[in-house]
Amino acid sequence: MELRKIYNRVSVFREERNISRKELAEKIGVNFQTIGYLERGEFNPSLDLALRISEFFELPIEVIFSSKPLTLLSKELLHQKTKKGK
Amino acid sequence: MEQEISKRKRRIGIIVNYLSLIFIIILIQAGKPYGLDTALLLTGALGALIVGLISFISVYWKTRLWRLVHTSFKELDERQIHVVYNSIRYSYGIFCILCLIIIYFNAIVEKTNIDISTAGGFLYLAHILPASIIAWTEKEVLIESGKS
Repeated sequence: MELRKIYNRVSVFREERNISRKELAEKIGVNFQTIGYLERGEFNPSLDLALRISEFFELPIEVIFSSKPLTLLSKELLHQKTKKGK
Repeated sequence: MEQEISKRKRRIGIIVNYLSLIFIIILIQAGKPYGLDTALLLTGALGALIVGLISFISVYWKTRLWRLVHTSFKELDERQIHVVYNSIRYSYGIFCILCLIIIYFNAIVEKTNIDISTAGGFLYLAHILPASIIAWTEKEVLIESGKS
């Protein structure tokens, strides 16, 4: 089975909460270098790790991870605003 | 404070480390039959040992790669397990091939014993190969200060 690239917004949500890679790594129980690899898309997390990240950020897993390239959050928010406005 | 050690520096360190090991083995092997001066032999071997030690410390010790490959899987995260597993997999293959080359070479030249320097070299190689593979291939290797 060919491994697909998993896209993520871990760095976005981490910076939003003003926490370092080391702090995030300590909270979810991994080495901080793993967070770096994850953010750069050089490492695909297991389901357990993906769920731990999702639980930490208190966000649905599909908001953080995707098998397709993620759109910019600002564009998504604007799109939702426009939808609500209609 | 972590500093990244570049891939180029790591690879140079690995090559220097292995060359110093090979040089020590050759000195010991060549010293006996060719009757090299003992003082020269010892100086050469000591020099190579110091170079080997410095390269070992810079590539494997300060980067904690030595500790990484000798740590129980229970203490590693999933990415580290994956990295160490792959390094051990390749190490096994490389080590087996080298052993077979030495065994067949000895069989062809009808040499019945392996001397202590070669055996010592293989012992060192067995311990250092997985860390070498990680140091050679990993994108990011940091020199950490204090506890990780």
